[in-house]
Amino acid sequence: MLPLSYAFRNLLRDPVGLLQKVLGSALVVLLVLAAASFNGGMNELLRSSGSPGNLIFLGAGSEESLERSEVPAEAEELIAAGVPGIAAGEGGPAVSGEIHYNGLLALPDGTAAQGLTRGVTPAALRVHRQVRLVEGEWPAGGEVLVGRLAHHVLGVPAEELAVGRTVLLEDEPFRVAGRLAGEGTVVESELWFPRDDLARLLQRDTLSGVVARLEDPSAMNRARADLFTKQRLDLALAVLSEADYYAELARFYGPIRGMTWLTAVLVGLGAVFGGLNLLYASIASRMQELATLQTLGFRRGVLLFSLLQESVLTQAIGLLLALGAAALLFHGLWIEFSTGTFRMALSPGAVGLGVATALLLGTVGTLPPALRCLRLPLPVALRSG
Amino acid sequence: MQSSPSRFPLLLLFSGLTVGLLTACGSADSSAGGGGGTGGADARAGFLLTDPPADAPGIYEAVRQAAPGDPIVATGRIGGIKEPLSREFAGFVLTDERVAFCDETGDIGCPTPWDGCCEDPRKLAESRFFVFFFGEDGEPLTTNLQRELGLFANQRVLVQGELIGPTSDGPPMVRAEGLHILPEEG
Repeated sequence: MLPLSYAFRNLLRDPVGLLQKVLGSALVVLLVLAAASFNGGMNELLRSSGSPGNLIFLGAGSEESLERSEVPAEAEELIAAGVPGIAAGEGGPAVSGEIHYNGLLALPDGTAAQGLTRGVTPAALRVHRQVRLVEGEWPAGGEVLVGRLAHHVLGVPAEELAVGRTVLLEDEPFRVAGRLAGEGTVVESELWFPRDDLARLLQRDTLSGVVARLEDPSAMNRARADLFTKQRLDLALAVLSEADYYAELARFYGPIRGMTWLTAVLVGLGAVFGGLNLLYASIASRMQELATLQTLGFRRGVLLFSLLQESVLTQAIGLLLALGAAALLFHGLWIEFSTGTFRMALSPGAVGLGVATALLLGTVGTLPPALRCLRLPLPVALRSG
Repeated sequence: MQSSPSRFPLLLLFSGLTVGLLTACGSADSSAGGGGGTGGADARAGFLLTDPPADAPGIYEAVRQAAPGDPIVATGRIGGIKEPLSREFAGFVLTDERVAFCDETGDIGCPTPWDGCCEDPRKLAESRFFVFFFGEDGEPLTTNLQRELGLFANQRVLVQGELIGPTSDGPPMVRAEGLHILPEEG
């Protein structure tokens, strides 16, 4: 067996080559880390947003989007009275008729952006159990609650949406009455208005949907809710669990996530082929040395193992570089998209994927050039170079 | 007799494979139910008409000609919404054939042609009715008709029962006593 120090020394024989290999490897791993962090963050946000105990009643045919859905205002009361198994909260049943609207938000200084808004009544807190008021109070008319990440939507510091400040929706001013936290759900990027205010502003007399919390989220209770929508065909409702709704949304964003992976793979492939070229050249230049070691009695398997050690060490340096760059460039970065705001994070899963990529590059990437060199007959290999 | 420790993994593998095979056989059995389902012939007999009427109007006409509490016999297609068949209860949405489903209008790309999404919403709304079977306790029967009878969306059926409503609690519905699966036209 060749000592590990042999592999170490060989790494430093060609510092430029080493640098090229390390940078190539770091680039590939960095891209994998970026794609994994992006997709992990988005998936986590949408997964956390759907509570399996909550049902969403939407307009039939608009099951994929609450913003496009319309249900009659009386549906809220009819659902509360007609769907068995709904939980009872303080002040009434856990049923919340809501208006969801993607509108133009602005600050008095002119900063503006599209953002998700929700028209709610206090019943919303009986349904969305993960949401809590962390500052201020429930909004009266002309006031609004802001999610603790809503400032990312407008691209301003959090102080701009502090309690007492003003935010405009479709040019109408609202005073910030409080701040919401929602345990990593989409709610944290939303602005919650009193439902009557939003209905008046949007000139609509219908709701976007009704969210109800079941006492027991069993299949039978969900089926009873489904039975209600079939018995009340006049309301033109469809029902699905909140978890399924957000799972469907996650599927909708699948192509975007696919694009991030595709980009990572395409750029990574370029780096892999470049790296393979480098490896072929660097191993071929040591053909004579490897043949000499064979004549000294070192078997091919031992030499292959030593080459793999060198490569894995190179990849390990690249991995560390990539992890450092990822931590500096995007770990903790907030990303806004039309449904919410999520944080890119170097999760254990993402780091694991990065390590696996580096290991794969270090082993599988080295095998073709190494085997090509080691397969040559000794006389040919000794005369090469 | 003592089992050698080295044989333990083999025993474990053998037991796992046996359990796996038995489970696979079980699931194949239950899924093979199709039209028969768990209740088999008895369950089908409870829902299917033994002597279905030869001629019956569409459900839109039949409901308009009947008053609440009247007996009703009508035909239509299972559909009118995305998931017309209840999964846990013996009920489905029946839509009159005056409503053109997407596969009849040439929109072959529609993944749910039976939901009537290609039709005028008002016409669709007045042409669909919920049909359901009650048990003796007055509650809807908890039977999956898709599994027991092999019913599926877009299927033509004839139902016989009683018209309920319209009431303040909702639109007219049909309390079914039996149904008959009709052959496809044309």
